[in-house]
Amino acid sequence: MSTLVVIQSTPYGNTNAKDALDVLLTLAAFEQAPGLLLQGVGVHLLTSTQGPFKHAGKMLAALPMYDVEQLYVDNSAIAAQGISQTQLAQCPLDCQLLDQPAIGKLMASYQHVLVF
Amino acid sequence: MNTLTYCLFVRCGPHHQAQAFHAIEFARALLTAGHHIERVFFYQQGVLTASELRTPPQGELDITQAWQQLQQQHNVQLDVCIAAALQHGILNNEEAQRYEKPANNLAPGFHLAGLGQLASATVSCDRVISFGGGL
Repeated sequence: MSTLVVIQSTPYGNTNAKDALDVLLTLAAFEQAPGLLLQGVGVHLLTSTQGPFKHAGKMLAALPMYDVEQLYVDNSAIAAQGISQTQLAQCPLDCQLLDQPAIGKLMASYQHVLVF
Repeated sequence: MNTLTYCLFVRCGPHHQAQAFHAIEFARALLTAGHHIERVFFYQQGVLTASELRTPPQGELDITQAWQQLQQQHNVQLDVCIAAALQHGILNNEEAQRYEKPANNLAPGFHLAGLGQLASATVSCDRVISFGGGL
């Protein structure tokens, strides 16, 4: 397994989430089968907000075209950040909820982990 | 000794003093220890390191110059993400002409490159080390 991209930033506070997805898309375009994990406030990528900037969450819809079908989500962040089941269901990717031990195993299965 | 191939992923700007300094110190330490740095990839605010116009106060370490020295002495590849560079106002002559800007400021020794260079580094390098994540 190649690279796991971890997003721990909100989609609108700074460009971290967008920059992370740019890296992820590039890795996917190079057929590196990258993984994506949302943690902490990063789960707000699954919500939609309005503002003068492009919402990075919209980029998720492009991922299946690059064979990224799955998204890993930190289960503890879902409740803490108030993400609803409806919002999870609306995600264009298959959301796999992971607890802390599973996240540890996931990270260990990748050669590189890039945290944004 | 087991030598490894590294990619340094610099995401902090030269104004994030300690973190920017750690990146250059880590690079020096790797080379001293006999490891290979395939490339340094500047991303996000890290691209500001590549401005030839940076003028740090007298007596302070000039991070841009420090990377240039490392490039000259050890032929380390210094790649600057082109999309982030344009956004942060770091342009080489070609990009300045393309976007009809009045000046260019990419410091010698640095090269504009695509994210593909980072992607290929994840394949060819044993380690990718980030500096300044989560800023």
